[in-house]
Amino acid sequence: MATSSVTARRSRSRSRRPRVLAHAGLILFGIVMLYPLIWMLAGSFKHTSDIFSHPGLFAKSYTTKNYADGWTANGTSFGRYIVNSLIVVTGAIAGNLLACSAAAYAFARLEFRGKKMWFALMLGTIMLPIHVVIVPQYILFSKLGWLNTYLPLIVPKLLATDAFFVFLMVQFIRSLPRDLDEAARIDGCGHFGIFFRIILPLSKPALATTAIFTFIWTWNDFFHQLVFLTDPKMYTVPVALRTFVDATSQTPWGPVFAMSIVSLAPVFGFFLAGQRYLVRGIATTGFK
Amino acid sequence: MFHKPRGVRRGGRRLRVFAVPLALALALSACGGGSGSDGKIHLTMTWWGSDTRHATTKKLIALYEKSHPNIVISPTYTGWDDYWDRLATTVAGGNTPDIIQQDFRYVHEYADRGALADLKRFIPSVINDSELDKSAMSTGRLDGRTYAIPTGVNAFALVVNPTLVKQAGVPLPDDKTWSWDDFVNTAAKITQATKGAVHGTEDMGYYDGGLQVFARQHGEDLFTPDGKPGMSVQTLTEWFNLIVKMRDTKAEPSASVTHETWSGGIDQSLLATNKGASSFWWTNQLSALSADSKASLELRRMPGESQAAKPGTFLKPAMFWSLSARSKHPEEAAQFVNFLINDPEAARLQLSDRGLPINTRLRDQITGQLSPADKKSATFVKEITPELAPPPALPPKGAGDVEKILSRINEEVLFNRVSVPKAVQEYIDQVKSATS
Repeated sequence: MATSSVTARRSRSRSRRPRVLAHAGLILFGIVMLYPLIWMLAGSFKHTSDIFSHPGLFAKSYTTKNYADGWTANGTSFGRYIVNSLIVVTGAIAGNLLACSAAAYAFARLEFRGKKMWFALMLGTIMLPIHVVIVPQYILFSKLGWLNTYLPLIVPKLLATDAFFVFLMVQFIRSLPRDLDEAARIDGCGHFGIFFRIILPLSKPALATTAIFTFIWTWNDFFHQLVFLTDPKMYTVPVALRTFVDATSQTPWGPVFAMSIVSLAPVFGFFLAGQRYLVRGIATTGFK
Repeated sequence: MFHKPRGVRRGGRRLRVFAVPLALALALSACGGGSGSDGKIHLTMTWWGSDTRHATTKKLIALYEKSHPNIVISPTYTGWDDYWDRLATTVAGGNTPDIIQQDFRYVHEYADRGALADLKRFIPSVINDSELDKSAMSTGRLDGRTYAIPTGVNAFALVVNPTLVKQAGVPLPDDKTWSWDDFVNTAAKITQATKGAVHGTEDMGYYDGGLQVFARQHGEDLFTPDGKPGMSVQTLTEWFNLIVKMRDTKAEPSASVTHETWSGGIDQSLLATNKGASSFWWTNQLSALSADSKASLELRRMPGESQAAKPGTFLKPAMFWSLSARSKHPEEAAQFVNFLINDPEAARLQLSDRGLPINTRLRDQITGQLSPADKKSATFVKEITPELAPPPALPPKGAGDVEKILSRINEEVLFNRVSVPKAVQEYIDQVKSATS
């Protein structure tokens, strides 16, 4: 009795110390990883001339002028760019959710000729570098008269071109028991019924993951938006931010940092709101 | 960057896969592509720069549209790095903007692709060249055609922070007679006197500006007039030895510091942050450097000019205006270019943002309105102009890669990863394959 309680206490204290150490280590690591972000936040409140001459976190004086300057720079309100980005992101999310899940259903549940080959081909498109496809895409959209509209950024998503999400959902749908499909079929459901009544409601975690990553990737996607949008009024957030940054002349870093912080806010908020679905999705996929 | 033929061929394959949805989309968007229904002439214009240039150029457009109510100019702009990716794509896509801001290194490439219009037929009837700097104008010519009109000129020079030099207590040699050795020794002494708090100078090997002046002082150039790589093994060896000497004598900071400051652009350079006493820049960058450092910076001639058979410094076109070969309204676009370079009001707005105006009468006229730093650049350029040799011809296609090649090799030399002879060979091989 006595000996066992002693060993229990000892083992508990032994297990606690490493945990405290591990946490301290993790917190330290977290701070190191966060430092660039904190530095940018600090920089957004410094005078531009102090940012690189006093590269620490602290400066003699702080200012909120950068936010006002950045918001109104280039004669267009930065809010305009945020709205533009939101339009593109909303369209992309809707497109990806609808098209990728439908394509995934086909790959996971239907039998058709050359299914394996089509699947491999689709996955192969992930490996196509953007520089190879951007010129033909540009010619295509230019002939359609879609330049300077958001169509080139949204319409392709309706064709399930984000192979990564199709793959993600195929894996998820495969893990759903087929018994449910069969039960629905006996009750008189066709493919559409099964898809909309059984598969989609059960795939919420995968859909949430798709929505979150589409948001982040589209929000940060710079190159497509740079090439397809040339009217400054149509610029999205990343493109607008880059109009400030010119290596050959002086860059107003203070406003750039300030607007970078502003443009991070929606991503951060969306991630926070959607994070629990993400975790739940991982938990259920692991559950099989 | 993008090689048009390959991209287009692959596109063909992809197009077929997309044929069905495409046909649908085409049917849906049959109304697209009908711009200019208001009876006005629509021109598109593109440039790179920072926010000040965006603002002034938009003002220029507004000013022009006011006096030409039948013309609408739609601008598009971004920073330097992204500019060339976008331009390459739009040109390959057959959507070249009517008016293009061009750079020395890329004119040849775009002219070869057939993207640029020959402006000869507009000179002097539309674009009046009577007051334009003759020797600078020659740089826009290629095979007897005029593909580009310079916006203005700059010179490569040494920017010095006299306060830091004085604090170090090191006398600055006369820049009319100083040699490269004088320069390196002075810089090393400054580092020594300040115990490394201030470095005498910054590394000059990442950028091709200094190398070009050095080559020209040795009777060579980055490229021969017919577009072949123009540097000899001997001159390149001397150049890289000079870089190594600057590093070893601590005239410039350690390789890792150099690498870090170089990737930070102009705002993070040692001069801008008052950690270096001198550095090589273009004269038009003096104002950005002065604003960053809050010091009264000055310009000095390149070292080694008086020892050389021919001076290496030249007036380089800061940028060019080019017109699209496929423009529907080339005449109107040329009229706008004429406004940009010859109109006194336009010059007053632009000042020296695109280099000191190519129009020599306007160049003198605006000098009084310039900021103190820009005025110094203008005075300096005027002072050295009589000493200079004519500018080189347009470099060949692929010349835009020289800077990348050079900075990669320079980094390896600085970090002692390759020997000087190997670096020389690498430079020669890589420039050859980039431009052939």
